[in-house]
Amino acid sequence: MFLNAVKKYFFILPVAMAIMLFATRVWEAQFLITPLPMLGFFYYIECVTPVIMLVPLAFLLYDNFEIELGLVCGVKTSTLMLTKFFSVFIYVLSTVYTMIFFYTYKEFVPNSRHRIVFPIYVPENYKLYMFVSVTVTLSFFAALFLFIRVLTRNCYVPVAVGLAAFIATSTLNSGIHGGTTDMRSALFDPFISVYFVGNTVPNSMNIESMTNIWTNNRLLFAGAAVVLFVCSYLLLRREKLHEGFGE
Amino acid sequence: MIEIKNLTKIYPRGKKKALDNVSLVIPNGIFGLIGRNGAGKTTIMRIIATVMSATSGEIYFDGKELNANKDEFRSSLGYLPQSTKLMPRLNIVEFLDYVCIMKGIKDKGERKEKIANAIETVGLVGEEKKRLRNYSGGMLRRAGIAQALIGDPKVLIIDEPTTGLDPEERRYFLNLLSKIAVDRTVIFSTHITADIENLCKNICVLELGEVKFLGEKADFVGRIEGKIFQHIGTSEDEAFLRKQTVVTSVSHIDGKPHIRYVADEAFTDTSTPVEPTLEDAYIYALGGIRR
Repeated sequence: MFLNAVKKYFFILPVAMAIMLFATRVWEAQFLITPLPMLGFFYYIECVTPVIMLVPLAFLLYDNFEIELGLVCGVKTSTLMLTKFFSVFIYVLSTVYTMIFFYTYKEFVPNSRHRIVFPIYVPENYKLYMFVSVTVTLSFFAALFLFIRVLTRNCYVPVAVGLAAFIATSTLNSGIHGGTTDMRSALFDPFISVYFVGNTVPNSMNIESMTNIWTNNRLLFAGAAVVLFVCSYLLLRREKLHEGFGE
Repeated sequence: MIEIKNLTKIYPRGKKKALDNVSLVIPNGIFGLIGRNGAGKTTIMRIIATVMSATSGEIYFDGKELNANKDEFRSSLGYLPQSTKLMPRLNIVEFLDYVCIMKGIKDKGERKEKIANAIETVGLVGEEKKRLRNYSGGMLRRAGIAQALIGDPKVLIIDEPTTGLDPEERRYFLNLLSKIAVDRTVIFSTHITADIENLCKNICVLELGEVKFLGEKADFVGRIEGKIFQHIGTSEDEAFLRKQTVVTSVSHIDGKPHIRYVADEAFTDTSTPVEPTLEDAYIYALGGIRR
């Protein structure tokens, strides 16, 4: 049953990859003038959701009693853990997909009543772009949290890493938006979409470089997610997760 | 029958051996594993339950080597670990249903029947809707036994189930154990001698990873038959007897220490021979009470 559940949900990753590759072909970035809520929406989807996902992954994934019970019942630790992992992942991903799906962008015409407007750099088909981008971001962070959780067998370490990544990337973002940091460093930013929303356009930005950076960034993080996931799986296969601490 | 040969366990970061060349034969019925905290009881239970590997040594179940036949052994095993954190958000029916699924019982009707039987056996009828987080310590232990009973296992491993229970719950739990032990091997660990007083015929006393005694409880108590005395005296007498003999208990009644000790003959004129208890024999095996 558990193995079936894992198999059932595993299709998400290759499908997401396929959509991502397709999206790189239809990418046409352009300026949109938008009010504050749209900026908030992008920011929430890309940056805050992984941090929210961190909480169930750090605190609900691991249960020593359940793992021991599973072993005695003949259920592998890897099966048990990955079933829970995918449940959390699918839950969060479905919620985010739903939010993106129902998000409606209204053409914004600035007038004197609106004091704050934001030029944002997004493709016309931004929903497709968001579906792909958020899948990669969430896959990367989910795999990272799983790996750290399994490696350290400690719930606080992934929380600390998640928050550190969030803060570090925010700083990097401000640097790029302010023009003090090179745009190319965006290649190593897991929350890539944040570059395309903001009140300052990076100095060296042009459509071609943005397209390349976005594509390379998403492929890089998708690859990292797969590597981290495989490493976590190999650690889980040892069936030693319940051993060690407190003994 | 379970046979353990030369079992040794050294934890990766441990300096001492948690188990040192332990050999045991566990017959059918309730087998009591007794020892202080840190004696190695949980380690040996976890190794038998196949949730931990030994550094060296073999275990045989009905003549078959355990590691080579892990899956077969697991199908006839019920295990209740020391932890009482079962699954707080579930109620007993949901919890047992989850265990049934893990044990590979696919048929819904069969699961329902097994769950109802297990709940009835452990006396939790009427408590089905309550979440496990609202259960008392005794009820949680019974819920733990119910999960161990799913699949009708031949071997039950129960690790220190009476810790923290009030006397009534403890008695109820021990009665339950004696009821379910018919036609099964039940390995039961505790550091409370009263738990095994009326429950087990065969016992093993563990101390710092070594077997101090293995055999029938009557033989264990018989080792100090005629050698246990009680002296009522002063605190100076207590200090003297502690130096000269193995003191098994000291209780102060009306301000006077009542000292029970083990010696080949009475050490004071006022000492009277008394009937040895399991606790006397146990404390004697561990080298006397701590100061």
